[in-house]
Amino acid sequence: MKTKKRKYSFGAIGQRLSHYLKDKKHLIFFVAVALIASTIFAIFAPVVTKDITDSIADSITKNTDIDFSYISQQLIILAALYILSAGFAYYATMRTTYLSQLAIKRLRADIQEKLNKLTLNVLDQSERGDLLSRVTNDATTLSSALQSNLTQILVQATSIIGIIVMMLVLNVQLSLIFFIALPLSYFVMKLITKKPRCCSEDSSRN
Amino acid sequence: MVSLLIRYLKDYRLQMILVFVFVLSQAAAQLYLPTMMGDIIENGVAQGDTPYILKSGAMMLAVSLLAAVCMVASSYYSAYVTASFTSRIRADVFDKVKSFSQTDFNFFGAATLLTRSTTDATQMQIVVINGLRSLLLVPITGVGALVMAFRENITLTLLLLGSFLITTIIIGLTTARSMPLFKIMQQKVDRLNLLMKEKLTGVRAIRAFNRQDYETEKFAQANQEGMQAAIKANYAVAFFAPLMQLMMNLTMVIILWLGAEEVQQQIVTLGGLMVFIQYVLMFMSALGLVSALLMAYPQAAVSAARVKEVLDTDFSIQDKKNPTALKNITGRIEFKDVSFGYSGAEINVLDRLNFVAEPGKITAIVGATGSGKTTLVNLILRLYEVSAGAIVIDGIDIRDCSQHDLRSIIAYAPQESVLFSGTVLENIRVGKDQATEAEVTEALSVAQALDFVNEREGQLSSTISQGGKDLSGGQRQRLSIARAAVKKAPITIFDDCFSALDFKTDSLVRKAIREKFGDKTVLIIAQRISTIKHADRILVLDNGAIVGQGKHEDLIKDCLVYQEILKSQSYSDGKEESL
Repeated sequence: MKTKKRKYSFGAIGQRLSHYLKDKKHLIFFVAVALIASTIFAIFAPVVTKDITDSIADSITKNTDIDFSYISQQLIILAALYILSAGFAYYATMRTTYLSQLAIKRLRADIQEKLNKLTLNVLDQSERGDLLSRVTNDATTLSSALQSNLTQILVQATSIIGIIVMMLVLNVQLSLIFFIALPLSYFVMKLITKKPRCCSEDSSRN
Repeated sequence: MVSLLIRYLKDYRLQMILVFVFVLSQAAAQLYLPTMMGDIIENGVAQGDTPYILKSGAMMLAVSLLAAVCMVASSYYSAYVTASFTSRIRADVFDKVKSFSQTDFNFFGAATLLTRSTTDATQMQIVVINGLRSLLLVPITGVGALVMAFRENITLTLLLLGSFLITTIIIGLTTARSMPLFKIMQQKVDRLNLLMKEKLTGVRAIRAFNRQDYETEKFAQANQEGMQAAIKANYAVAFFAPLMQLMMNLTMVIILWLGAEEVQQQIVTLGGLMVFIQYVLMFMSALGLVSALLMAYPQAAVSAARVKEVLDTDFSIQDKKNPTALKNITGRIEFKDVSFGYSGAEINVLDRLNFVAEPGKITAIVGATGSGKTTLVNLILRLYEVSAGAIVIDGIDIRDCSQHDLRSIIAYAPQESVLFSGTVLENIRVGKDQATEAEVTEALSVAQALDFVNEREGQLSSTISQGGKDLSGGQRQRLSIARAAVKKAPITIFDDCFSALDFKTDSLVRKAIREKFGDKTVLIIAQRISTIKHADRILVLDNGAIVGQGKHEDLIKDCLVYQEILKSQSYSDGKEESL
């Protein structure tokens, strides 16, 4: 078993997981919609905030009274945006929890089906502790990683796209500075993350 | 969770101090930034002083860089501490379980011990890795931001604090409520692991009896329950992050509203309000980290409690403070009114046993299955503690000496021969670390195992796969016998380990034992009378009581149980009697 250890790429894992969830396509679609909606609402909030501060600053420079009817109207919009964003985020979290647990349940069922079919020869050749660790510990680790990370990745990805769009809308020049800084930080990150990848292989053998 | 953390982090004081210093510097640098920004707006932008803006801008960049360096350094040390922390916990759980008595082990069960030392430890590791730095950073930046905000504007900070308190209370209550749910979830994982383990270890029996469907059904049910428990527990904490975000955002709305009025009344300047909002944002991002942590906390806390339970178990069998040393032991074992019952069971497995096993003699114990033979051996090895009476070796109560000493004077060949993955030599040397090859060969010849070992490729250094799957039952038993023989201990116990040997090998092994173990105390446990009929003293066990004691010839005459056992075996014994 050790000799033909396959390296699973991130894509291969994704493929396997999507295989487990292929009958839940509509649910995944809803989650994606909810996440996008949540992000869009969250991203529009700063725009409204900007309108409010602009209005206040305007009133001060012109030395007129602050336009409270306009501000309160904007503040209500802002509150509505935040509530909608949180609501969608809550829905998305609930559903991804369900989806990842379902995927893990099906993965476990699959493992146990496989154990039914494996020849004794294979079972005898692989160390029992190793197999046991794979079907118990590794499955659990995958489930907790899935659950916390799937939501995170989806949320982060949608907000990054949204924020970039918003930044470009608000100020193109300042955004450009940011895009120059981005590869720099990516480079630093890469330097730092290079190490841990090789170590985690060792620790999972315990 | 926290107590476990403190217990282990104690040893990493220096690293912890470094983490703390770097986190503190990072927080300080970050907290200084908004003030600098405020200065730029007030002194630079408002007065059109470009050199000042550039100078302060450069300063701000330098401060951010410092914060970044501190962050990397603190991550480095906290990662180091976390990794050491988890590996120490695993090692300690392993050590602890190793020293568990049979009673302790049964109390937990193998499956849950496995989950606890793997899954639960990992669960904690995940939180500690993410948490250690945020645990330090969040209070520092949170409190720092709050203090700075307080200096800018008192009423608005109070508002912020108020909404923060409400959120904390809600989350605190839910955390308390979700803990039992996570506990159930981990128990379900235990159950899944148990089924998987049974499936792997019992694969032959399951297939032979065509039980796959039944097992699959059982597993599917446990799997379903596991999923439901996990979903229920995670649903309970799912609203943490959105709620926290929402509360803080709504607070921001109110701050903007009240702030606008204060600006109107000229209580604060617009610049002052902007700086204040910067601090509020900083406070919120600190909270964002907390909410991620809070979602993971209940699960980690449950895991920590489970690990701690193992670590804190008092051994039910403990050595005395000043154990009597066992020196120059001849090996005379005496049972004085020994009774034993499993904890919780009403009926005693062994009832008032009295007998003596002398050095230089072979004492045999026969009886039907379930008569208590193996339990008796477990008591001598002190794997279980006697319930009443005393076991005395050379006049010393076995509870007065250390368990290590006791087991060093006993060689033991168990009923189920256990072989480890490794060579034949290594497996025999389990009995005696320092055994020379000559000694090992001698032991193998006593066990009549020399022939088949020599036929193997590589002889003594031929490898045995885990559990000895490539050997027959009889071969495994013979290696197990050799392992006990090589120890040459004052007391040697063979627990029904002749059962898979054919009659000829059986008698050859017995003959060799009699020759080589002339001055030792030998205990042979058997079901077959032919194995033990030449013993110096035979004890007949029936339902945990000794119903007959003496030589074969005497027992044939006056022991009813012995006669019955003999009768039930005689159809085969008749032919083999001559051996």
